[in-house]
Amino acid sequence: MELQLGLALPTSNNKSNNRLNFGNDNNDVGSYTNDEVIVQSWLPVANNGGGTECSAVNSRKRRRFIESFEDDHIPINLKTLPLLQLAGGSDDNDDNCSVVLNKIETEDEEEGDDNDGEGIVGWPPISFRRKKKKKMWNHRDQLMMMMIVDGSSPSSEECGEGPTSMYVKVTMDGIGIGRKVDLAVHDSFPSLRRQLFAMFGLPEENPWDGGAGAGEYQLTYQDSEGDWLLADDISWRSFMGSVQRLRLMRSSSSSGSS
Amino acid sequence: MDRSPKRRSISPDDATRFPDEVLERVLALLDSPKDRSAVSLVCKDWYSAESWSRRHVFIGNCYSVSPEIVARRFPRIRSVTLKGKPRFSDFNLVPDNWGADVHSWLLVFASEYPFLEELRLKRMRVTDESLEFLALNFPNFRALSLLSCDGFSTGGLASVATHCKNLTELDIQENGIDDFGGEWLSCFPDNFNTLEVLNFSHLNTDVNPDVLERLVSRCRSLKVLKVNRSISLDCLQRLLVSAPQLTELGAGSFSQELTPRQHADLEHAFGLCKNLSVLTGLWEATAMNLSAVYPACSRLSFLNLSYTALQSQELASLLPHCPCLRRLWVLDSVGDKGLEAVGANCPSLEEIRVFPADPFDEDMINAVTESGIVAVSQGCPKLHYILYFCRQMTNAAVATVVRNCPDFTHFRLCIMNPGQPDHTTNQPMDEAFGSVVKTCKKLQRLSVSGLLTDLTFKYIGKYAKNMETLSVAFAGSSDLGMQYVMEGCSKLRKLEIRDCPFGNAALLSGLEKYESMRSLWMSACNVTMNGCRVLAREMPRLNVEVMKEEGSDDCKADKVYVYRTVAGPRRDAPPSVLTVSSL
Repeated sequence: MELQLGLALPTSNNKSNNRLNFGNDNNDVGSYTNDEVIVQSWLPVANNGGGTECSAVNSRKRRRFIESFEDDHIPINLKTLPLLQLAGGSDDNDDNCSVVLNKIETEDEEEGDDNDGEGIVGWPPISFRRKKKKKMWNHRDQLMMMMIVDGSSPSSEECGEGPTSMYVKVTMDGIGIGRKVDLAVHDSFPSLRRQLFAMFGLPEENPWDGGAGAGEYQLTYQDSEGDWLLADDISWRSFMGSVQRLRLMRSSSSSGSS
Repeated sequence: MDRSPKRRSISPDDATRFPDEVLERVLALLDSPKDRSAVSLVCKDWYSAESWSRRHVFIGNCYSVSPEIVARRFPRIRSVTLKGKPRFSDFNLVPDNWGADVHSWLLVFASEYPFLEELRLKRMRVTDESLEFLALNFPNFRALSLLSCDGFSTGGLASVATHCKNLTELDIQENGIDDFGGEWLSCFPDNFNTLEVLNFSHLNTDVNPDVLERLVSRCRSLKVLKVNRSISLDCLQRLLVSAPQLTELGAGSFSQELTPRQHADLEHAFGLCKNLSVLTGLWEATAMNLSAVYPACSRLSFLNLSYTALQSQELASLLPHCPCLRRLWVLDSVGDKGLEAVGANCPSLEEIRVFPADPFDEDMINAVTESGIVAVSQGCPKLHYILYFCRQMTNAAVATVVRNCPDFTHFRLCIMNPGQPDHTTNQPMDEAFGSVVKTCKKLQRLSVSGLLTDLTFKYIGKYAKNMETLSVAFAGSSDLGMQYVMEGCSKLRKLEIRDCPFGNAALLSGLEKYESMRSLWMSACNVTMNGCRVLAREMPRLNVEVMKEEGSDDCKADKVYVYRTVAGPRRDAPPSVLTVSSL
């Protein structure tokens, strides 16, 4: 897991920390609890010397300062990040764009709850109305996929016509660049695994037999509620209905918490 | 009923003066609100004539004036444009019940403008009750446009379809709408045929394709059709065959797998559309399907590909078919290579917007960098509008861009990590925006991002003399930053600031400026209630509103919204919105 610099938005891995304990291998200041990670200062810190600094070190120090002294003078945006809500392009012109959002994790959308996932309210500045629509359409696409996988034909009233592709992101531990895979062309885990092997250049016989702890890599996926789960714990059909993204995790870094 | 402004009758002594009627006829030819404002200041006669001849009124902030005042000033309005909530409501920074309800306006319009024909609303609250009221009380009503509004459902649309006999325009964009199904479309009567503009692209649920096809085939004047994702490619093909006169098309879902025959039919249908200048929609378009639109692209001036995550090659294949392209919107999935293709193929390009396909994904490959924007600027010297979301930028790249394209009017750069410096030099991005404001004399709108010190604002204050709108987030070092802007930017009308270290001194430095501005927004800055009170005391014709957040310090002013008004303090503010008085 990447170092959470004060400048960077936390990645979606934040949410999953508690579950699979990815660990903070690259973090040279030790591991954070979730609370520590997500509280960050975004403001450049004005020095008396006139320059500005905005660094992870500052934010970490600042957080611990708060914990110790509950200082009232900390700038107001240093608070537990509410869940971030994503939105679409807003401007004064007619045809606003709809951002194609890839499977952004969402919590229950309560009224007044501005965010889901991690991040800052309203940042990046893209209109929030898109996310709701995108979420609805993803669910619909997945519904259709389930029906196709099931063998029944979707009624055109329910699902529109024709199958859709279902691309999800795949990342693999140790490889900096993620890929995308179309789940719609697969009908089982072995089939999916074969493609993933080919994609990431893993030899067939090597790291994976699908069992927990047995191979070097485990296939995990993030479901529609944002939780990271082991892919083999459920049926293919349920998997297709809820998968948002995939991650090939090194088994050695898993501590089996779940 | 005696209405001001009074009308003068002609007397013999006035033989050398223009009769009002003639003056009104002449002034009726004026369209621009700015021209009309200028005209109305010449003398009383001209003020009066202009008021009588005005048919369209644009109200940029619905709380800056009351409907009664508007009706008194302009007695013969046929068309109203109203904007409500502050722009940051798009990013969830404004509570849902904030206000901007259109109903009180409709009540006044029903008695003062019974012949109202057009209503265009942006960021207003609109209920089904209001839509029904509108449909029932304005017999000449023709055009309804709702952009980023909320509070209504498809039930409201059904009322409009049912009762507005002369409807020519129904334009529903990007709203927070409760979608209860597509039956509203069936509410247009069977003999209804006047529609010229139909846009329901952002509604979620299915409409009946047969109903839509019948509607389109009998509306021979239909010029703009933007459908939602539920419309299949087969249906789209039939719609195009039936309406080849379209000038603007929003296609629906574009991911369906087509047989070769279907593809040929679709391509043929697009080929019939000789007048298409705007193409949008194209959700989740596959490369194969995209090729079907090529025959319709020869006159295309605006192409919106921001609903589909195209790869660079797909864009590179499409662009050569669009030689007249002036405006292009894409997702950053096209990458720098895609933008190079833009630079190579679009010599007439004036506007480009690049949106993030996946804003929260830091592992994103193929996202755009500073190279992409430079490539576009090299190939498109006429570029004057840019909106660019990216994850890295350099000062040098921005300087190159504005050197290539010095005519920018709108420069909106969003480096998505707040406070991120130039990634090659690790310096702040001050010089980037410095080069923008120094070079682009015509700059009207600027959005800044990245690591910025007060120096950026010093540059802005010194050079951005035509700038009207400025958006700032996570920037600046001290009050000085905002002061530079307030003191230097003489044409500033809208200023929106979030998460910056600007406090009361900064707020009050603009004291004399706010009455010449539409509004100021400051959230998560260092402004306190006391500062707001001072502002309210010194400037009684401003509304100074504070939105408090739960659990925040009593003296902090979390979100401040300041705007000029002749209507006094709001009477419909919810409890979370305080109008600060000088007490």
